Amino acid sequence: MIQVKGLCKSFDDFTALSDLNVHVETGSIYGLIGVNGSGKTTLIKHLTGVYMPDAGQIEYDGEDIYENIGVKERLGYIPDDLYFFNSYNIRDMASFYRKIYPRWNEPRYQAMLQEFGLSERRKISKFSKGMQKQAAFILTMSIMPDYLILDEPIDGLDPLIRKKVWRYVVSDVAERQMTVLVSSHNLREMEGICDYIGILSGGRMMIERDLEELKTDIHKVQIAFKDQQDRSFSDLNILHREKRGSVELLIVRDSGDHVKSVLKKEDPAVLDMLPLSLEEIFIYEMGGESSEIQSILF
Amino acid sequence: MKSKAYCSNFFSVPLAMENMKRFWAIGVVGLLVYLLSGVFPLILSYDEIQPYMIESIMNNHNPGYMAAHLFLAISSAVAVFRYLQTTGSTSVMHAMPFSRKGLYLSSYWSGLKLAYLPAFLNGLVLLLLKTPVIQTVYVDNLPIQTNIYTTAAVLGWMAEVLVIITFMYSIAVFAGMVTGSVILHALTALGFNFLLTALYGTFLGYSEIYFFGFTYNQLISEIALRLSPYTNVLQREGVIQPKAWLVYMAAAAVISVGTYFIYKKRPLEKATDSTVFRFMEYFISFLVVFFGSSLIGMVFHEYDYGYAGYIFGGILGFLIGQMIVKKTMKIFDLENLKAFVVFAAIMAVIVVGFSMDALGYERKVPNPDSVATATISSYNLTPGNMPSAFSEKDNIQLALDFHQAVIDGRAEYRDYLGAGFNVTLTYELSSGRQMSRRYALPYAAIMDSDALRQLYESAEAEKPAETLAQFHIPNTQIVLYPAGYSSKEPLTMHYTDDDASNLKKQTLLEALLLDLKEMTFAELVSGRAPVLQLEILHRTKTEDRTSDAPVETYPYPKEKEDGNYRYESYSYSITADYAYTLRWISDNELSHLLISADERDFAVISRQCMAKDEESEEMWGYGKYSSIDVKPQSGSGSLVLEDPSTITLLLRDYAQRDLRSFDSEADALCLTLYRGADYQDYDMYETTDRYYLNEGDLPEGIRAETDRYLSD
Repeated sequence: MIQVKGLCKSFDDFTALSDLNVHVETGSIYGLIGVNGSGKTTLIKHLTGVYMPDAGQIEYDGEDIYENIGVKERLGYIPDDLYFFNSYNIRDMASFYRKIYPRWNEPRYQAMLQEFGLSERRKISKFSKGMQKQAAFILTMSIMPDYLILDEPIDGLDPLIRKKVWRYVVSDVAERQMTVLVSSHNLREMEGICDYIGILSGGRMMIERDLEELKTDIHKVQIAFKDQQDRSFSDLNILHREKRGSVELLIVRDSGDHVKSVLKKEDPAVLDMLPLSLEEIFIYEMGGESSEIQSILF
Repeated sequence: MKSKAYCSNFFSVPLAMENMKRFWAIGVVGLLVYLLSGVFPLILSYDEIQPYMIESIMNNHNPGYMAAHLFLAISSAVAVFRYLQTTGSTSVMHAMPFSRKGLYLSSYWSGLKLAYLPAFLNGLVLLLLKTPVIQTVYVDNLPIQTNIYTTAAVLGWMAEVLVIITFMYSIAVFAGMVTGSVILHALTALGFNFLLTALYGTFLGYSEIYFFGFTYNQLISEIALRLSPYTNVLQREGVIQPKAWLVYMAAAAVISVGTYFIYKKRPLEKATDSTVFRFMEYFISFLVVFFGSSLIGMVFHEYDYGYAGYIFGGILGFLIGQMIVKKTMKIFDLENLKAFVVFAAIMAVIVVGFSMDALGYERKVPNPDSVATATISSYNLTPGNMPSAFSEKDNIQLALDFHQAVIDGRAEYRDYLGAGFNVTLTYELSSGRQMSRRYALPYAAIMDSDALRQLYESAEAEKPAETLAQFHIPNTQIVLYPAGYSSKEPLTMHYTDDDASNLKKQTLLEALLLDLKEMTFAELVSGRAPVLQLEILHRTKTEDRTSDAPVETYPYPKEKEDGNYRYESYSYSITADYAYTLRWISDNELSHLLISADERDFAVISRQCMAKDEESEEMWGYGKYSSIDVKPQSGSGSLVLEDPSTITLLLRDYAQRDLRSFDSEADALCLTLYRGADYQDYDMYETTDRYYLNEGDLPEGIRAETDRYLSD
């Protein structure tokens, strides 16, 4: 389990994180989303023990991460801004990782190398950005981490490779109860992978929910009536309401049964309840189609 | 698998080894420089290795070695801590299973190894090549033949280089902790290593400009050079004493420990910023302002625009400094304006503090009770250039009185650039410290000083001259040169065991000693033109060289060194006041060596030293050279003398070599001597020398002539 309590961080006069709380269950995949500048990378750098918090705690199964070698040995991290030693190839980096990570898995390393088809001897600096990400992924997964922190990991990867990457991640989560926190702008992809979602805005956590719960609590309803009478639907928590001709589109945050029972009383001609995508949930939960929210979409 | 947490917390062997593997090229370059600078030249001249080659290696005076030390110390530090200078590397390295302590220690150690290993290997090669190289060294002034290429010497070199590199490396690492980019790390690593010396040198520059009486002495230079072991090796024999090694290593340790604590606090989000801590922005910015303002101000000071230079240099330095630390050209905002005002105020305090002598440097005269010895030295004041050292209380007080008089007159003497005396006062204090002042003073300040008169007429003032009585005559050579222009051969009384010759020399020295003892202060400072030059060369015999030793020369002689002797030389300008010496000259029939009208065709007495149609240019050794095409006639402001005896009389008894005895140049008559010369097939007359005459002192006959021809 990864627990962040009351995390605060300021840079000069700018408050990057303010009383932030994050909870990541063991063996789950937590998706961290937010607009640019919301504090995702700053949070991640605290989670990986790079930054010193101004206040608050970051714990991995009850142990503070900062300056904790024991936790870091079990922590895998792939940053957005990759770094490898100059002039090194994957083999050289693997050799170094082998010496500092006690749970280095050589057979897995070799298998992944083969599966991803990367040259072991070619300098990593000569790889494309996507290939460098693959190299980083291979090395990180080969250390058999209990915790995996991924900062925009799938940027630059083609669909086939993305599928392989997620396969490894999901497999380790299922088999070894690996705990994963992934930050990304690709909400469609996150929707298919994540168990939990945390939405960050202005250095604060706006929403942190189980994804399925989030989906069951918010609905898109298309409804039409025979008459043109205005109806308030005051018993419902309507996030968004829009009329398209004779059909009204409602985004409602309420349980599905309650929504159905309230609407059926009005004897609609048409009543359809449709699932929302994570994108739509995000947009409407964050307060509509503001430019800030639009910017988070892929 | 067993956790490696324990090892990684303090030190990571894999990381240290990885650094060596990654940055091996730095070590190779350093080793190549060492080998090419020292070992290869030794191998090439292995049959006959010159002592100076070994000396330059062991004393670290070899330029290649010094370059290698600097390169290795700074490059290694920049390389191993480069991961702190980009966001990607900072994140990845600190997310790895290392603590900051482990990262710091591992990187520090691997960088230090990288920096020192080439020198260590070079030392091993030097040990392998070791062969006896004999040189004469002086211990307590006694010459000793010694082998300078020994195991101890090489080990000493290796230890000294370890000190140099460790010290410089520790400063370079500190620079990396407080900067956020590779370029600035490298620049500050270089700059910080010489910062103290540069600051000290700049303050010395201010002292030289503003402090009346400021002079460099050996101690001041030594302090500046000792601030770093790198510059320390540049002084004297270049060998740092083992006690100093401990001080430098202790300083390196303190710096390194302090740097670790800075690393612990270092905000890693500042990677790629110029500086990591706010105070460093101001510090680096101010340094640029300080050095820019000082440098330009000092240059402009030469042209009397010092303050304008300080202001211009300060503004320029501020702009450049801000652009460097902020990494942008957009620096014109309120915050920077405030910083500029503060910096300007600090510079103003410094400059005004120096110009107003806020610390009382100019006014300081030591307490008489604290002075052990007072020494006065001045080229034209002390015959034979022997400085006069006074240790008697009364004489020390007289020296202090003179010193105080000079200080009291500093408003007049401060910017004095005319002819006069350069006087250096040196006090050896009871505390063991030394205080020196040097003044350029007009003649009157010396000649009219009652304190100096009493001082130089005291018994203690005769002591330097009494050295002459202690010379071993057979090892004394005396050369007599004609004064002024002359092509006559000097007379040399050589080193000899011949009794008659030595007796002659002895009597001459006795006469000279008597003259020096009886000379009054007024005669000493009179400025009379010399009639003869006398040079004494005294040598001290050393032991014979070993027959199989190679020919060697001592590279840094205090005195001239030739074979088995050490030489000391003393020069005297003999004037008409040296009665005993001149009597000896006469008795030994050497009067032809005295200045005379020989080799001069005529002399001209005039009120101005150059005729209107004379062309003039500086000519070394003879003052201003000039020439005229037509021999002048007496009249129109000049008196032409052709009688050799008259000219000789004026030269020997009346001529003054400078204007010290006159209130102004207008009060003096100029005596110019000419000789005919052929030049490109036409006749001309060249000046041979020039002197001054006091009209009131001239013999009657000549006086009448000057009245006749020189009146307006």
